[in-house]
Amino acid sequence: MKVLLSWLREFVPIAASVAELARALTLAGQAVDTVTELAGGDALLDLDLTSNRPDCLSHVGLAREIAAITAQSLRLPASTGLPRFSAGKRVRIEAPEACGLYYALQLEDAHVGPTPTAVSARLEALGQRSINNIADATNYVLWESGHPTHAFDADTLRGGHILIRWARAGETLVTLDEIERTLTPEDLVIADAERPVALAGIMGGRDTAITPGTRKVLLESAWFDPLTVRRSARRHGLHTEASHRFERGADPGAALPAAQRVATLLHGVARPAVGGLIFSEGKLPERGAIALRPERIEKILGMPLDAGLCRRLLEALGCRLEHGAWLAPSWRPDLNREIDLIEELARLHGYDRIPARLPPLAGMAQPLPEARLRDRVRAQLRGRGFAEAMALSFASEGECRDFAPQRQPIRVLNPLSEEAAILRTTSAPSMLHLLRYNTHRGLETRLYEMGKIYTLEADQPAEQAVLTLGACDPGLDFRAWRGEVDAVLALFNITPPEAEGTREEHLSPGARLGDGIWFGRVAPSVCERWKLPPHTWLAEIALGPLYAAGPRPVVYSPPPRFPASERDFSFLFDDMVTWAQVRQALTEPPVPYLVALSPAEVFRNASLGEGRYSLLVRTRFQSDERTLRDEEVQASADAIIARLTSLGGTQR
Amino acid sequence: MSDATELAALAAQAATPWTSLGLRGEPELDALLRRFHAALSAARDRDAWLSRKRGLLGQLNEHWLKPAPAEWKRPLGARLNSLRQAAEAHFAAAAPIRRPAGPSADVTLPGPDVAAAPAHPVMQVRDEITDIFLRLGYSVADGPEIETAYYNFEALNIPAGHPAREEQDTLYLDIPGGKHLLRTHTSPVQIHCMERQPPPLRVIVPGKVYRRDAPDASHSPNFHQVEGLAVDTGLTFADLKGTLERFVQEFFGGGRALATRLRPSYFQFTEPSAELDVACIFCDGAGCRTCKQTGWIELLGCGMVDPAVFGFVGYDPERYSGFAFGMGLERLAMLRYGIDDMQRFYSGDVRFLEQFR
Repeated sequence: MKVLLSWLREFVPIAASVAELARALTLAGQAVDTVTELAGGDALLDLDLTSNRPDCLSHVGLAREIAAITAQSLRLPASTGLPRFSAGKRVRIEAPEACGLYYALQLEDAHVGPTPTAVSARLEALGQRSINNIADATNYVLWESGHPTHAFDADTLRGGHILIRWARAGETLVTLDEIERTLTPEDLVIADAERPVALAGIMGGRDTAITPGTRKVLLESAWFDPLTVRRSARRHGLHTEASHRFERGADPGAALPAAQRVATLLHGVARPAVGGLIFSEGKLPERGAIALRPERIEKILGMPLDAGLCRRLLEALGCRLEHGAWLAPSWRPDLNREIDLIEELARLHGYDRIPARLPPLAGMAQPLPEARLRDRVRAQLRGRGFAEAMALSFASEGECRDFAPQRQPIRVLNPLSEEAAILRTTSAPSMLHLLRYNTHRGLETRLYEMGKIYTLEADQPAEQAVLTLGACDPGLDFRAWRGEVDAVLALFNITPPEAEGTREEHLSPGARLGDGIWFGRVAPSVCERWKLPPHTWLAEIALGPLYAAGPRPVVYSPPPRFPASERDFSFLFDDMVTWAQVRQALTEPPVPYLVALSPAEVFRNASLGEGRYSLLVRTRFQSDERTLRDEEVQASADAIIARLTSLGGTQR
Repeated sequence: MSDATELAALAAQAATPWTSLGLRGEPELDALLRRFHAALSAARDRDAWLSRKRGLLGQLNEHWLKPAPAEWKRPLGARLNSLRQAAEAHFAAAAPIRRPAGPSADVTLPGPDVAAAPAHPVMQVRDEITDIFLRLGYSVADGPEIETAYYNFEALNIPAGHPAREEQDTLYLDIPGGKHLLRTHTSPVQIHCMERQPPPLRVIVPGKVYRRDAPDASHSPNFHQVEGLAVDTGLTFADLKGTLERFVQEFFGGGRALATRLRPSYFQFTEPSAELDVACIFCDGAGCRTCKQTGWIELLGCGMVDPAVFGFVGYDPERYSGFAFGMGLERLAMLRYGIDDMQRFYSGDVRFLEQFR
């Protein structure tokens, strides 16, 4: 909100420089964002006010705050008296829950014309366009005291009543901004006998506005329920100076003075009609008395505050002490509880005067249960050349469907874009975006990301932590890539199930290890669509089951005392024979003394013939009782040859 | 006198048995040894001096020191020792570089790039903050990113229709029941923690949060926060202040105290509420572009837990008090490293990431 230094000075003496004033306000919670020096020693302050302080949305309100901080007294703007209440147009509040009170002041002999420069200059300095002398008077009072008022051309109001009522479904109103608005029964309106003439607390109607020909004015000054105004303003996408104040909580005590002040400013332009002030009352929020205990102040702030000081500070804000309890002023809807008063005391006394104390340690702090495992995985991956990346949780429906067609996505009801229409059901698209950002800049890289995927399971949201690996690397092959996945799994106390080839079209080749883990090379068609190189690799690893399994336990056994013998076996196999079969054949039942077994080399070659491959099986034999004799090793080797042969292999 | 003649003279001297020297005192010994020291400056034959048997020093040991009577051992030993050191220093300085046989290496060539890949700067900041608060006695907790309006707003004293609900533009989710949204802050985990466990409680919550903000240099629809909560008997605003000052000192000051200030602010779930500012780390408070000439940088929001929040979780607000704080990790990372654009965090650009290893 913008305020003029010169205008503030009408209500409170300011001895400090504008920079000092800005600092003092900021430290009291009314943050001054910028100060713009104006001609003649004046200055424009732009404040960033919190939504709990509607009372500061005016010059008088801010002056009151300054008076409280600097222990000065506040001077209120002058008003002349008003005519007595009487009949005229009757005001009837049909929605008392939404309209706490309503003053209607009739002004006669109006002469609509330009606004005096003193007034229009101030409004323009605040960025408010000058309209005419009557509308400007209401705006001037809004900036001065904070209370919104509205001027109708009284001759355009039909029938003898002003009604404050809920709109009927389908009623329309053309507001001052020339937009026709269709109303709902949740919109509070001001209506004449026939139609709505204003959206209560938000904006007046075009057809009842002040025009150059206006002779009679009906000036509205009311209090509307914050929630009603807020909802209506949102529904109609309207945000006005009036709605801004009403929806934060206007001052019901300011309604009559605001009407008086407008009438005073309009002296010579329009004259209050005899008996032209009408008043009607709805329901206002009830305000209770607040007990303030000195020991509670100390318990919250960590320091006692002198009773006299407390009293001076609270009274400066307009609070009154009655029968030992405090009554908050009508302009402070935020002060209702003891803690509210303690905050005011802390703020005005100064947060900087509260001591700082580091509380003593109490008990043993626990990291997240999975933090150590998570950080071991991260450290290992970085050591293996994967940089850590972060991704957005959003994805488009199509790109997720490509990679996880069976998972049910959670849609965002108000997405920012179609590309972010759902929460990702798989991290694959996120990783491809990250890799592509790099390949488009000529950078081939390895990345990992730890994040979540989100799915709908039996109509309930489910979040699952996943680790995603991605690489663009022409040097990678399937075994090397699986090695990256295995290295992660090796940190945990799990034995993953046998790998199965995936049938999904997006990986080629690709494999799954149970439900939560898949990896492979991105299929050429997908790479083409994503404009990624053909050597793009992905892996997604569900972390929940790994964390639950815990770290791989250390089981100590003494290093072997007797030497091992190694033997290699070179066999030709049909492509249908898998390593899993070979391993099974050599371990069930166990071959005597066989302690280690690995596929040392696998190769395919035209000379071997189509559909065949050569496998070099490396084995190690060892006993923990003695050094094995040659014939013992040979007997085991013969068993291996026999088993591989019966698997369909041919020894080379 | 040539070097060789001098060396021969010294050798003869060294081979003269101690008893034949007939020295009467240390000055006479010093005079004798001065000749050795003088010859050393021109000496080139290392072996003639330092060879274990034939060398001058070996000879001196053999013929002078060994037969010397007990009272001479110490002064003579010390002098021979310093002569040996002088000889070793002389020949070490004069020694030519000896290259062993075999292939040579260009030692100025760098090794292959096997440095570990980097951790993400935002995760580094998360880890560091977690570590600081662990040391201050705070446990770490987490909670769901998909929340209900109850935990994200209501239980934090933000009722329906409250302006604070709109200030944090919320992303709502299409989930049967219609209650779900993406948490707009990590604060709902405060409620989960207090529901799970009675006081005392000290916990921090790092996590991902969401706002309906179009991506730009200072906005992202998802970003990260760390929430902190301490509840106990006797915790006051002074404890909040001391804790956060210590955090700033550890995180930004490297252990050095930095000027901070608490500014009154407004959050529904804390009262009194405050923003913590730190004296601008770029200009030391003088005023620059980063701090918008104010000399201060806004770091985080905090305050004493509002008693209404205790009401939602069944803590007795008369008995317990506490404080809470929340900070944006991206913001802290941007401040720490002077990063200009928040989008860089989410691009995956390795040229960006690799700067943080």
